[in-house]
Amino acid sequence: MPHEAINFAKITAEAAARHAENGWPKQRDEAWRFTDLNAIREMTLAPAEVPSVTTESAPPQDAKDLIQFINGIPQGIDKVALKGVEIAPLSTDSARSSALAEAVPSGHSVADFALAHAKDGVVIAVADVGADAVAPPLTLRFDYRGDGISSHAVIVVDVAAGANLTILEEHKGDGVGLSAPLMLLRLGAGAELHHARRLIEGDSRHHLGLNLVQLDTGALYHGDMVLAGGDIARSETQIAMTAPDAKAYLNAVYLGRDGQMRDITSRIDHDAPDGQSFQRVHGILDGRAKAVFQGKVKVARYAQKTDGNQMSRTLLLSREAEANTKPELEIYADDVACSHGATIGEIDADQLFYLKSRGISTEDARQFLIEAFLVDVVDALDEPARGWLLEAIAAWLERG
Amino acid sequence: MPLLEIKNLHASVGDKPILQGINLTIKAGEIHAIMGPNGSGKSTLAYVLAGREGYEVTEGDICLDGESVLEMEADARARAGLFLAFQYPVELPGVGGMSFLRAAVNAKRLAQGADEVDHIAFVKIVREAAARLGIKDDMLKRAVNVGFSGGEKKRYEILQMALLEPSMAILDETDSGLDVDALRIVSEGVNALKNDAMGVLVITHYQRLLDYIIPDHVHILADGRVVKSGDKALALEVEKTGYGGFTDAA
Ligand SMILES: Nc1ncnc2c1ncn2[C@@H]1O[C@H](COP(=O)(O)OP(=O)(O)OP(=O)(O)O)[C@@H](O)[C@H]1O
Ligand SMILES: [Mg+2]
Repeated sequence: MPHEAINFAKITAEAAARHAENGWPKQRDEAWRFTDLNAIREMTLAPAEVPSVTTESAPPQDAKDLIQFINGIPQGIDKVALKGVEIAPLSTDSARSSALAEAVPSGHSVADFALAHAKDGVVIAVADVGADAVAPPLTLRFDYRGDGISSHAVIVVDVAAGANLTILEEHKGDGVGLSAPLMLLRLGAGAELHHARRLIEGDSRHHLGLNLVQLDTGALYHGDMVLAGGDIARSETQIAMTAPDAKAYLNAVYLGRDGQMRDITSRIDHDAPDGQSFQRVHGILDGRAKAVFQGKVKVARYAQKTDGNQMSRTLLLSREAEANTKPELEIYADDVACSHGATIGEIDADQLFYLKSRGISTEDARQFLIEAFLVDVVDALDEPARGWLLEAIAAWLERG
Repeated sequence: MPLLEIKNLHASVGDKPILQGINLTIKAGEIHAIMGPNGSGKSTLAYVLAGREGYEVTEGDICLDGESVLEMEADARARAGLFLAFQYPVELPGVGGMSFLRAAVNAKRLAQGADEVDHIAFVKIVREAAARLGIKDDMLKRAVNVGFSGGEKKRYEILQMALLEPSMAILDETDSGLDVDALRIVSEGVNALKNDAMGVLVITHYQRLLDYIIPDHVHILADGRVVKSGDKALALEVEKTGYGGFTDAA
């Protein structure tokens, strides 16, 4: 039975009602055990309003490969001109609105909050334009401004069968506020999405992002992220492999200092045979920073020949920093290769001494060892976006 | 002025006193050898000289070129000309060999007011020095000491020494783990570097190394003290009679 098309306003109103009833997640919710949202709960937030178009808020005229979001609200989406890429408001697309409403996990308060105050969403639809016409990356630039504002960007990315897209997504800006972007990423058979993200918001902002990924037969999702900004910053990714042969990479580097909180949460549902998922998460924590990586991999009974790997490593630069890892493997198929590993450590004193004994200063020696710690995840980053992501890591390290 | 002067050196690791009053003077151009039973404090002495954290000098002094180095951290001592070839070289996964070697050489050059070494010229210098020590090109491309055999690690230590041209080199059991040919190659490497301005302190268990690197003085270390000093004949005596007589005397 085809689903009845529902309108966007109804979806947001229902989400608002759910959020009003349920409030923010509490630490007794298993998925939020390590992440204390009190600071957010106590904030007085007003949803972002459509900014008056000033020269400051207007994206560059010639940017044909850029969507700028001011406090989550897209600007000048009609200017984008990438071959095979169509951008449209979500509110006029009832089929995709319904798809989004269906995809949102029930009882997910953050998703409800994101939807609750979204003025509209954006649809990014990508058609297959043939192998030799690979489009340049589409940049999604999220700019946050002002104090006491919550930002609610809602985006549906639809990559058609056989199509290919690279997204460079950046979140930055200052002030006191909360960003809650919600993305549904749907990949058709054989489609590819290369999704690189730099989360580099200011120290007084909070970020709670949710990405929902749906993979059809043979589709490939490559998600690379540097989470280096914000006070409380959580990035959650849920991947549903409902058709055979899908493949997902999730690479993340998280960096925290002072009293910051970093939360990388993922859930991968292998619901069809021959799926592959590779997760690599490396974090560096200084000061009193805290982090959690919770990765759930669920392999259904009929998802035979699944290959699921998860590796997390944390480097603590201070004795007061704290890292938690919570791998969860739920495997109901018998012919699978799933593995996970986690390490948490400090700068190795023997290695530091070895470098120093060669005349290398403490600072340079630490730098060597920090970069060495990141080598494996940096190698795993998608080639075209690697340099762009490394800039964010370098900027964080330089702040020392 | 002596190059290295160790005066009544007492040192502890944690709360455990290990060095119990060592006196040793090395002049420029001299080679000294230290022998001694396992656990007698040889590596501890090497680490204390190099400035390893956690090795606390409780009494006495160490002077390099007449200046106390006790307040200097390991990196400053290295830039001042001290070099330690480790008994157990440390693996540095993810740290590329070439960038490591270049950083070490540049740190020293900058301290001396020289310019950083030219990239391309440096690669050539390293390749040539490596070839003389029988180090394969492929090893230079790998992460520092990762996947090196025991003998390869020791050669790599001497390569670093060759590039850093220290004024005072301490070789902690560089001979252990080396096959006969490697022992000769490494010894020749050390001898080639040796000059009248340089001092060498060789820590070894075997008199065999001293056939190649011929010491001016040999010291026996037992229980954290120098219990006997002599010339090369002392090494031969140890080889024949063991340490029994010396430790009893201590
Ligand atoms: N970190 C440490 N904590 C406690 N004791 C230590 C530590 N390092 C060394 N020691 C002790 O100090 C003593 C001297 O050790 P050292 O390594 O200097 O001996 P060595 O003469 O080099 O021996 P070898 O011939 O086996 O290399 C030993 O008894 C050793 O157990
Ligand atoms: Mg030793």
